Order: sequence, then structure tokens, then C-alpha cells
Amino acid sequence: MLKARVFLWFLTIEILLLIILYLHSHFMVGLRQREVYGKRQLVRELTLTDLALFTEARYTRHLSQADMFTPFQDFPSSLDHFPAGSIVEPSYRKHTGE
Amino acid sequence: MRRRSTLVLFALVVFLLSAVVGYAAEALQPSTKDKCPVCGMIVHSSPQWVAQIIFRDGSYAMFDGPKDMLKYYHNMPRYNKNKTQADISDIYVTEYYTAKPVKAQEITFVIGSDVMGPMGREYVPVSDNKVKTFMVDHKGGRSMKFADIKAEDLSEENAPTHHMKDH
Amino acid sequence: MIKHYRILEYALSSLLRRKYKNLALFLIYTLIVGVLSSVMFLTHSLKSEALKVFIDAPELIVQRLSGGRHELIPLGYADLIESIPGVATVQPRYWGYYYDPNTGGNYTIMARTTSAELDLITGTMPQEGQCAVGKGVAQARQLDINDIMFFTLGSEQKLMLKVVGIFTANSSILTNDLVIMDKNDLLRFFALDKDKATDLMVKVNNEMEINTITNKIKRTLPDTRPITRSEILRTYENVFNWRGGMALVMFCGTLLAFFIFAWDKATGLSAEERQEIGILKAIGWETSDVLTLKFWEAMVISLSSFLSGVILGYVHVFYFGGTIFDPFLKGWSILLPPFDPIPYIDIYQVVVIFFLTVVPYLASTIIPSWKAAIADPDTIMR
Repeated sequence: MLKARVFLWFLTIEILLLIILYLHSHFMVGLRQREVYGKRQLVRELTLTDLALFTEARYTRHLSQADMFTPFQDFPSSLDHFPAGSIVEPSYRKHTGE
Repeated sequence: MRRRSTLVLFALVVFLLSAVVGYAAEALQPSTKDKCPVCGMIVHSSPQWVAQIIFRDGSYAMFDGPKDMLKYYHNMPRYNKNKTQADISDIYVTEYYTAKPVKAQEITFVIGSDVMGPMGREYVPVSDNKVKTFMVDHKGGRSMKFADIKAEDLSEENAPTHHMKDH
Repeated sequence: MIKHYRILEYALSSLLRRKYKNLALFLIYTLIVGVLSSVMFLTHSLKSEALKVFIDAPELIVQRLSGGRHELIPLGYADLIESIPGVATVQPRYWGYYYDPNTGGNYTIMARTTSAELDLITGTMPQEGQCAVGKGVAQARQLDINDIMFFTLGSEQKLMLKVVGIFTANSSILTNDLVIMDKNDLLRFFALDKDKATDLMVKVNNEMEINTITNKIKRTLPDTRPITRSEILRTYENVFNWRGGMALVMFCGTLLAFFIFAWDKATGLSAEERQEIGILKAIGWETSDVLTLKFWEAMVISLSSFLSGVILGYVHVFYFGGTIFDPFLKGWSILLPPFDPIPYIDIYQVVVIFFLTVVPYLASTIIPSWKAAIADPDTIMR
């Protein structure tokens, strides 16, 4: 029954590892709470509206400030002009109807 | 001579009284623990609706909306046996447009509007000069001053809907 | 229980008989789960962070549109907006983009809006003639505090600013490409009109009134477009939603690959495997025993690969900053902030990955075996 025992040990270790990682994530979230406050302060004081993720085009740098028809704002075929444009959805806006 | 001393005494009484009245004139910040004595909800989570009654002895009651404050005010024996309306020093509600506390007597309450508080339809506190704007923007039904609100108005839950029809 | 244990032992022996094939299977499976869980971990943690951070974003931004394009907004609009009941303050924002020919990077230039002390900056906020830059800009231009940064537009417009602050690395996701400077420097460099701003930031007292104010602004100033904070939050909720956008692209490919792989397994049992089932039946194994065996065989592979894959994904994203995704995310941008995501975990997503990978694999192993096991041993072995 050696193989079964080895396998079960392997599984147990993996599960333990996952539990440790989960606890680690909780611990890190708590530990980096100050950082979140710092970032909120940055957002508030610098009046930021977007993450600095994709700097290649206006509408990918400021996703929330781009308008609904932005993909066409440079020229008609620029829909997928920038690589990031293919992994970012156009910003969703509610139609108030009023 | 005698008349003068009465005057002095009177002045003193007025001074002391005003000091007592002035004691709790400041509105309080709701803490995370304050619960509405009428519905039991935590007040803290909707700061733009908070209403409060401050008693002369410095104790207070926080409400999650003006409606619950009015219910409490008009039925004190039910919610707080130790106090009567006479013990109240100040009543504050949060004005809709400024989100700042204002004395309930200095403001107009609008019912039947489409603005919902944490407990549904509300007596929305609006400062007098903005009542017209509010009525138009939020389909307000009727406006009234604090003193005009009767206990009967509060007992019938659907009163605001009724007024909506008039509008 | 003992029976299951014995069958497990047998299953392991039979898996070991085809060592290399099963090892390869385990590795591929682990890799697929690893990529899937990396995508989920990364997008979820970025989304959670964006939603937590942009709670403090401006309640309302008012842009002016002209001919369908963003246009500078006259400062006179601010007074009109300020007179709307419920508006606390209106503050102009000045910002723009600067393409840096030396490094090929795009920077976001913003005018300083505050004099408050910030936690996530080394140095200070800039006064006139000074600037504060993000870590990405500092690295691209090899700048340090007290260095001079040059900006040029054509030959006429030049600007020389002393770097007095660098935003810390852990704020990169917000500040990587930022250059903060004084309003007067920005106006002079971009040659903007003194009575115009990029957009207006509106503070609202009561958040319940935001929509009414938005509608009033649209009505009184038809050439403007107000953007509310909830729209900003919703944008980020959608961008990092694992069912759409960024995640879906990476997600779909991997998932399809997995389904092809599972389908391939499901449609054909090898002759060898059929024969094994036949022999087991012939020596007296019940159909249920054969199925238990197949169940354990599939379970050994899928469970261990699933667990390893999730661990791999976690380590990849939260220890190595999701390096595999860099080329996807970077696109043409020069400045990509280094990812150091805060590990916000959604257990629900791990469960979803479990059901998307382990369950189809189990089904695709057991069903064909079941078909073989209910047939007459004689026919199978022939």
C-alpha cells in the first residue's frame, strides 16, 4: 500500500500548501491595508480617475474618461489599432433615458 | 429696590437657562455603534440621512432617517420611558442638498418624493429656499414644517402615496 | 473504505505503468489550471484594488465635447455648475499627454491639485519650476530627485523642471506614467488658454443627488459630458470581470485547449485500456469496481494537477507579478507598471476552475470506461 500512502501524503501536502497560501493572502491583505489608504489618498488628492495600466493610447490610459465612440476617434480602422484595445472592453455607460 | 432685584434674578434665570439650552447645541457625529431606536438599524452606514434628538442631560438618540425620528418624537413613551418631549434640547436632521445637520425646526420636510431613504419613503429635510427645486426634481408631494407634522400622519404607512395622487 | 484504498493502490500502479504519458498529462493539466487560475487571480485582485481605491475618485467629472471630441472646457461653466443646488465645489483639472521622443513612452501630465502631504511619495509635491514623477517615468528617463527633466514640443516650447518627488514603487499602478507639475508650468508649456481647463471636477454633498445634478448639467450645458464616480467604478468592474474583456481572451483559448484535450480522451479508449477492462471483468471484477478504478485513476491525475495548478497560479501572480502576461498586457506601451497585486482571493473563482476542469475530465474518463465495462468481456478482448 506504499503508493497509495505516498499519493495521499502528496495530496495532503498540496492542500496544506493551498491553505497556507490562502492564509497568506489574508495576512497580506491586512498587512497592505495602509498601502490601500495611501492609494486612496493619491486618488483623492491628485484627482485620479484611472489605473496607469495601458499607456499606449488615450482611450486605454484613461478608460473611464474615454467616450462611447472612442475606438473611432483617431481614424475609422483604429478599432483594434492598439493591442490593448483587444483585451479592454469599451467603457460601459448607463443609458439614463432622461 | 425690590423690583430691581427681581429683574436681576430674572436676567440670571434667563442666562442660566440659555446656558443649559446651549449646552448640547452642537450636532453629533454618528459612531459606528449607534443604532436607530425605532428600527434597530446601524445609523453610521447612511450618513446623509442621520437624524438625532439631543436631550438636556447630554444623552442622545440617533436615527437612520427623519421618519424614524418623527415616530420616536411623537411616541416617546413607547421608545424611551425615561424621557419626555420636555427633556429634548435639540433635534437635528441632515439637510438633503448640503448633507449637513440642521435643526429640524428651521427646515421643511417634503413627503411623497421619489427619494428613498434607508427605510423607504421619507420625510426629506430640505432647506426652505430649495423646496421648489426639490419638488420639481423629485416629484415631491407635500411640504410641511416640523411643528405641522402630526402623529396621525406617521401611523398610516402609505400616507405619502396618497399625496402623490394629488400631485 | 479499505476497498477504495486498495483500488487506489491498483490505480496508481496502472498509472505508473504508463509513466511518461501520465506525467506529461499531469504537467499539461497543471499548466492549464495554472494559467486559468493566474488569469482569475490577477484580474480579481486588480479589480478589487481598483474598486477599493476609486471609492475616493471625483464624484463627477465634466468634460466638454466639440464635434464629438474632447475639448477644453471654459472656466465660466464652473459658475453655472456651482449654482446647481447640492453642488459643493467645482474645481478645474488640467492634464494632458506628453509623448517623450527619447524613450518612446507616453506620459500623463497633470497639474498639482493639492498641497497635502502624500504618503506614497519620496520627496515633496512640486512648486512652480518643479515636478514629481512616477516610478516608471523616473526609470525610463533615469531620473533621481534633484535631477532636471526636459520636455520639448517642437522647437519653440521647452520646459525644464527639477524633480522633487518620485512616487513610490507600490503606487505604480496609479502613478507609473504620471508627471505632476504646477498649473502655471503646464499652462505655459501646452500653451493653453488661461480661461479654460481640461475638465471640471464637481464635488457633490449628497451622493443621492449625483444623478439629478448630472442630468441638470446635461440640460443646461448640452455640449458637456458628465462622468460620475459610479461609472468609473463600473468601468473597472467590467474591464477586469473574468467573464469579459481582458480575462476572457486569455481564458477562452486555454479553456478550449483543455476541452479539446478532454474530448480527445473521451472519444477513444486505447485498445490496451479496453483489454485491461476486459481482463479485469474476466477475473471477476464487478462493473462498479471497474468504474471505481477509473474514477480513482482520473481523480489522481486531475486532483493533483488541479491543486498544483492553483498553487502555481498563486505563486506566479502574487510572487512573480504575473510575468507571463506582461507581453499581452503591455501591447505597445513603453511603460507598464510592475504588477505587485494585493492578494485579494475569491474562493468562488477557485471553485469555478475546479468545476471547469476536474469535472469534465472525470466525466470524459469514466463514461467511455463505463461503456467498455458494461460490454461483454469476450467482445472487448477479441
